[in-house]
Amino acid sequence: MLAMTVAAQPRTEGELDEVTLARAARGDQAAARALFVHYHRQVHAFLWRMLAPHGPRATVEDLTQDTFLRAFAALPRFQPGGAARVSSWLLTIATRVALNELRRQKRKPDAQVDVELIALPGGSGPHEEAERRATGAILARAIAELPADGRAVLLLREYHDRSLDEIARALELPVGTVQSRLARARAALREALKELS
Amino acid sequence: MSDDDRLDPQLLARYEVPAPAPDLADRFIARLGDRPRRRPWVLIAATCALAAAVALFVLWPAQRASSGDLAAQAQRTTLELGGRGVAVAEAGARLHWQVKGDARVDQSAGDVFYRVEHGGAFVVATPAGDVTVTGTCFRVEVALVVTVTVYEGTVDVANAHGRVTLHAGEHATATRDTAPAHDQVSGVEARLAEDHARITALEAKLAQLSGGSGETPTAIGSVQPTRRAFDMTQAELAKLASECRLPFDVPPTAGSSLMDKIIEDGMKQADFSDAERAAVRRLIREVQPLYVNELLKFYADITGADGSELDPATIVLEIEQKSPSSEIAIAYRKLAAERAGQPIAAGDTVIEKYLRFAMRASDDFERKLAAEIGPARARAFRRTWGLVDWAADCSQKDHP
Repeated sequence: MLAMTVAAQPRTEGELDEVTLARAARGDQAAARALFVHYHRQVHAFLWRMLAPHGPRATVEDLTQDTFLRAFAALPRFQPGGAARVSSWLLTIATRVALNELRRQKRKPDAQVDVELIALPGGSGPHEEAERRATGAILARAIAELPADGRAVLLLREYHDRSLDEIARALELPVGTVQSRLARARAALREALKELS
Repeated sequence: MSDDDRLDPQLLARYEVPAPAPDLADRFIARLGDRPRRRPWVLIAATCALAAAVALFVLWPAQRASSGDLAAQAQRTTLELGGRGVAVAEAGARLHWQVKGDARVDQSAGDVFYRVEHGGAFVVATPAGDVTVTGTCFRVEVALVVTVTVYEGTVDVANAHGRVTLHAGEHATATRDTAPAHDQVSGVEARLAEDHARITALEAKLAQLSGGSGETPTAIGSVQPTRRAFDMTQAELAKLASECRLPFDVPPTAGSSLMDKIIEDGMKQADFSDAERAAVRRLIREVQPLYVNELLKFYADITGADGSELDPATIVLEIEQKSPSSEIAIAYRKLAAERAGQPIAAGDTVIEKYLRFAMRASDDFERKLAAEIGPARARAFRRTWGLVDWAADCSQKDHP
């Protein structure tokens, strides 16, 4: 196909190339799969941490798919040459999907809770492994206890390396508000990690 | 902006998450393919025909000299091109057009759907070449590559490197540095399915615009706007049911500038007095917030999102888009059968609940208006409302 003679270079490191994006936007199934495969782990991990402990595995996977369905519906309007990276755009959609899901669960107090996500991992092993697991569990609990907006800010910044500007756009908040929520979230995590010592 | 207070990444990495299931991509692709796809060719043909009718008789009756610019609007914009056709430009599209008998459109960015009338030359110039048409329905998308999709008629796509002729159902891509070529990769069906949502919105708008243009009976099974369900015989309703077709009229509570025009035109057509007009407006004010509120509940049920920033037409479109095609087919089949007099148990899918609500909303509005101005006058007004003629694929025999 002649369109493929255009150099298929990603505009930003780690991002999918623009020709594949254009093909996905036109409904090409192979390109759609490539886009999903390229980004879904990142989106899944974000949603997992956003929803823990209220998100059973099936829910997180459903919401991962919902995120991409929304993205595909809007993909023809996405400007590859614009300011937003595809990964940031997807994480923005995922953030809204997660916040909506948390609001929805709040309206349904009998929503199932997957305790697997907050239980301290069992088993024994070398000291370092036990400490690593304990730290992970403390982080999981501390992050889950953050307010939803603060959790989103922290995850986008610390786990997904989004800039403060990108986070502000994703959450439709002033950058100053993002900074203050980030500071509070970090302080909460540092406080929680004192348990380790 | 600096941020020097980062947490220790090695520490953060200790909060691990499980990998998604290995078959998640397969399941997603299957779900992506399950998006509603209802007779795209029929709908597109109907849309092209309706666009032509509206362009010629409703909005702009005569050809005239025209020129203008469109610079990256935030929303979809419908343009009249000097009587030579209609352009529906998606958000972000950039156009400059000039019509003096012949028409030339410079499209430098974005996605634009065109319906062109016969007349002089009509050229859409893109960064990757010129698209020349003579009475047709097509779409031009300008991105990294330029993609032209033809729904009706024939177009030539040409640049310095070559030329291709496209017929209905074909599409081609071109770049600044490569010759236009038929696109063999994704196939027309996939492209048409993708276009379907946009076409549906345009179709609904055009159906509304043409809804008051006459009540001439049309053959059941055609794609033209039908008569109102309340005017049909039992046999006609049964025929519609057998085709899973569910034409219904749109109450004047949908809330848009277009709807305002339809309401005004309808009251004029029904020769309403000042008192009758006041009754209509009062009723709209009373009913509209409740109508929109109900739509938002359906939207929240199916998307989990708050749709309060969306206009009612977009909410309806989203409800329909987010519903699995199997549920849509079942809902159409059930409601069409129910309207034909067959006993049907109500289901609990969002699309079925929405369709019941939409049809009930029209009946409720007419009934309330009848209480104020009399049944005959209320019915006369209802005959001016827009019609939506939706249909599902009846061929899925595995569904009830």
